[in-house]
Amino acid sequence: MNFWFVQTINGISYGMLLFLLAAGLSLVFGLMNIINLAHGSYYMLGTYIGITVYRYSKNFVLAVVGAAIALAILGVLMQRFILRRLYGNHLGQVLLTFGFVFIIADISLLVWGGYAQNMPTPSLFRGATTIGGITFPTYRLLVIGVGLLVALFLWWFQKGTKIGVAVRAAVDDEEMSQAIGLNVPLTTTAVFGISTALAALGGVMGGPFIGAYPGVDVEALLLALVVVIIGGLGSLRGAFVGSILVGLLDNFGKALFPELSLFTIFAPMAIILAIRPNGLFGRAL
Amino acid sequence: MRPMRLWKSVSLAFILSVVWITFFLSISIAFGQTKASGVKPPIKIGYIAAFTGPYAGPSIDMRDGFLLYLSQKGNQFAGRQVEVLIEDDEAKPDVGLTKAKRLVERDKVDLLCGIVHSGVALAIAEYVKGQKIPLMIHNAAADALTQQRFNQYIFRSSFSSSQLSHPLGEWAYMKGFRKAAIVSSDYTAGWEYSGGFARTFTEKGGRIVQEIYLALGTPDPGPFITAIKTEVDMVYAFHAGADALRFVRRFDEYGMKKRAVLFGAGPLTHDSILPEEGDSALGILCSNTYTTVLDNPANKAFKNAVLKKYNRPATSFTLLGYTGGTMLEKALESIRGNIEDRGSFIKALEKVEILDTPRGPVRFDKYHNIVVDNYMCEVKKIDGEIVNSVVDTQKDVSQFWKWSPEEFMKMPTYISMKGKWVK
Repeated sequence: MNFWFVQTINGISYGMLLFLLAAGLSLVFGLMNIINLAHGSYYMLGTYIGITVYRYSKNFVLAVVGAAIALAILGVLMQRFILRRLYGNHLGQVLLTFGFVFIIADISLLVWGGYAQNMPTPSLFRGATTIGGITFPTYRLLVIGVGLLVALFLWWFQKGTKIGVAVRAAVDDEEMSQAIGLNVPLTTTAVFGISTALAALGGVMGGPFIGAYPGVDVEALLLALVVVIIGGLGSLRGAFVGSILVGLLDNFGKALFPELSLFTIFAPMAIILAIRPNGLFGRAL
Repeated sequence: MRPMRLWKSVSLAFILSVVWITFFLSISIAFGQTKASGVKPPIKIGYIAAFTGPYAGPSIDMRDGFLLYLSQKGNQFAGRQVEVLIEDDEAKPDVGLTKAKRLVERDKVDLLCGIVHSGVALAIAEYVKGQKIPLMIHNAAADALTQQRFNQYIFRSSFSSSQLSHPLGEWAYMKGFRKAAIVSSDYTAGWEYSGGFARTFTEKGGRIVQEIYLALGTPDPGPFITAIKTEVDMVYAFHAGADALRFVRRFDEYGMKKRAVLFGAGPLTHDSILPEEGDSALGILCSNTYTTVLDNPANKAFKNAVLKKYNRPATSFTLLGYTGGTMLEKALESIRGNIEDRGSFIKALEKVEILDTPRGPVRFDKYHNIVVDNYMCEVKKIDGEIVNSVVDTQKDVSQFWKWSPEEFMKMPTYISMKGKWVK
């Protein structure tokens, strides 16, 4: 009983990490029609930078902020000076961002070396909590909490703020938005920065239990792509539902069928692609 | 074209080709002269490992250990220059095979070295047999390479997966442990390392109460740890890399250290992740072919040399590359560097025995796998530093432990025994 409950909590918390990743990926696609394959690399950089900041400051919050700012800057620079030139050119974007995957992977290897690293769990959330006879890790609850907060924030941002409305307007009709005075280029750049900052946040939150190592970028990207395919590109709701689903599937798959763990993720993805090609909540490509 | 023009074009082409061919012929003859003049060409070694991806750390260290030894000998073995060509196999068997083919057929190497990933090693094993090119494996540990899939061109200077688990099983029983749970990674290495332990532990009279295998890359081993039965007094866990780091930390965080003692193999508390594991690792017992705190002059010199040349501490992988170089040189010296005579070279390798390496004495057994001392290590904090400290040593441990090769290979493989240790 304990086993199943803990697996569920782990699955949901892993899903929250994926949500931070997938939300950014989905946002960027929804707004700019850009498929950014370097997204998993942002996650990995977030973890590495978080680990380095933590090593010098011993402060978890600082690690989160530091990594988020660093990645936001990287994202803005990438979008402003490089990706913007490929607007509308899907193949070009895929190739370019894929190239960045290799570049970032090699630089990370150079800077942080080839061995696995991780962050110590922040002292407040260390250990396990027992409620009603069931023991589960406290830190995972924090991850779920942060994930829900971010989801709510993004929801409110989209629906309730001027900037959010501006973003949605730009998505719907870029020319018209520019015609009525919205600064579309600035909006898109800002959204890209937010997206990479979210990936970095995911990376730092994942630092204590997944860690950073060569290969984690591809693992993260793979799962994020599955999430947005199942949930649907361009939809926040889709990213949320999809990430919880994939988080649970991955955890239970590895627990129940270790040799078939990849199958338990990709089979549902294949089914969704066959039945609803745009994903559960997605809009057409 | 009119006949006169056609004739002119054809003859021009003919003359040009003759000039071209003569030119290249003369160049090759000129270089051929150099070969015949008595200066021996350099020994070419192809070094293959997984320099990108999850095995990058071990591969880089291993290569650097090898290159360090070579540089200490002035880039010469047995009086001949040594040229090392380095290729990345990305830990993928097909890529590894392609790179091996390139090195052997295009670059004409005399020897292949390195290999971290067992899948790559198995892919290359058959190939080198056909090409008659020796392969010195510096790490890949799959038992089969020097057992069922053995061929005379393969030499392994690291260890086989189950080699160091055999003594650990007996040692654990001797220390009073009777009921064990196996919680290891679900792939060949996990099955073989755990199987070696299980076989000797149960033969002595111990019981395996539970076997749990985790998929590689499981993000959270926590739920599996909490599923360990309460009756066990020890847990044997084989994990490597990020999996090991996560496992050791979770094992501590879930309070398991109070209930059972954690045993493992070298990778579980490897030097590279030990600082990351921190206090969580204290008290873990592992069987190792090498630990940085081994107290002998060769090890001191080795560690200093690594620090000086690479500005980072030595790990067991640096040592494995270094040992590979040491044994290779010894063999080459005994045949005056004549690596072209494959038969003599292989016989020379078979006879190599060195007593004072940083890890102790080394030699090859009949199946070309290394015979070494096993160090039982406990993770301790010494002078504020967390290290794998030696608590016991078993001398002269081969891959077959107390059995003869024939007896050992008649027994079911550890791969087939997965899941069958619990009675």
